[in-house]
Amino acid sequence: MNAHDPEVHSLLGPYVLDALEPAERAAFEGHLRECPACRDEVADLRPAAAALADTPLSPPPALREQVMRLAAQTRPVRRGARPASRPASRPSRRLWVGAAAAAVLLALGGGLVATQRDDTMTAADVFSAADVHTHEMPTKMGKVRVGMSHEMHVVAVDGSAMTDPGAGMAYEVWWAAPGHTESVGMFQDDESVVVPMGEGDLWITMEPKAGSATPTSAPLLSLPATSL
Amino acid sequence: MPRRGLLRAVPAAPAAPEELMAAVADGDLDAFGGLYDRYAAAVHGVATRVLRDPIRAEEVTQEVFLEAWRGADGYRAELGGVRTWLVTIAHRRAIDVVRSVEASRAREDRAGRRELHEVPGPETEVLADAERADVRRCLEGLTPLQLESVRLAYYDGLTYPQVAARLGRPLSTIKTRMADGLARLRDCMEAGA
Repeated sequence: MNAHDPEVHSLLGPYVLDALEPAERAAFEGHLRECPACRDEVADLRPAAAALADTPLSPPPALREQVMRLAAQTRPVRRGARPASRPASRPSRRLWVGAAAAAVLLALGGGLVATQRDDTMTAADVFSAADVHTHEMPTKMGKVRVGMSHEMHVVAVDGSAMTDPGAGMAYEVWWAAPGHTESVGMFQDDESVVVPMGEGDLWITMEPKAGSATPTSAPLLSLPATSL
Repeated sequence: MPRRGLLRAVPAAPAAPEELMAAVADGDLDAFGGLYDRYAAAVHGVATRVLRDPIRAEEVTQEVFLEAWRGADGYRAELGGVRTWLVTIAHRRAIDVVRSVEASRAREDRAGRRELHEVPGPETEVLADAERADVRRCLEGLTPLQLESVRLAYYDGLTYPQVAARLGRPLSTIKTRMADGLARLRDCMEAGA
């Protein structure tokens, strides 16, 4: 198969869905190496395929410990770095193969999101994300703007259009799920805040500036995570 | 100046995913833990959905993160988001496991399994599976053939010739429906963003 063979190019959809046999997958990846436009097309369709995987399920806590323990025994591979004279611990072959596979996926990934070089995300970064979903919601304290980026896995809450909650008071952001309400951030009426994506409903309540361990007033806003 | 000093300490704003990856590439285990905490459910979710086997799904989840740890230096933000990157690796690994398990099964066992697979999953299953309202809505916008082609490949791990055989359509039709189904999904999601 030739790299410019239209037959090879027709494998694009099956490739992004991982629906190719190994031989055709290899042929298509060979095609991608020589075709920047095709890499862009792949990169363009990948987020749509990855969105199909949106059925989050937390693994058991023990898995985290195991992964962290195994990670502590190996070190990240520096691509392009000269091999050390003798690695402290010899990584298993399996891990090397894994890194190589990741590198291939990376090399073939194609462009998607602009880079952000700041240390932390600002609300502006989230509101300008390529995949942001923005909601303007009325509350009795004025309009609040909420932006969710699935890719960044965060929610930005912009309180710049909200009114002053009064002396000694501030707004607190929560994730409220049955039996568990967690405080994730606070902001003043002229501020915005970025909080991690969570489960249940996103709540905003008015609380004393020192913050509350659990909500002490009725939510001004309650937005289910699934509607973000 | 913002009156942050008066506010109770709450969790710091999460690091940008690209920064997290850069720290992971530097061998920062805490950052790696942060990466795991943020994306483990997405990775484990896709592995479980494809493998339908909690033990194998955990194995895949572990491999994906160790792969990300080893290969973090190769991550390029300009090539795509971190979640998409991890989910892409997880899906491919899960599919490879499904295929190698099926290939190693005894012939008669395979025949039995194929019969099980013949029972077409209702379309509502895939729609309900998509948790995000926008993904659900966009899936509803696909033609039945696009939806079935994408579903059988992505969730059930069928290759496109297997999908074509299952649906009784030519190979060329299935390849095209997979590509234009994904493109329609992308357009719909971008329009809704």
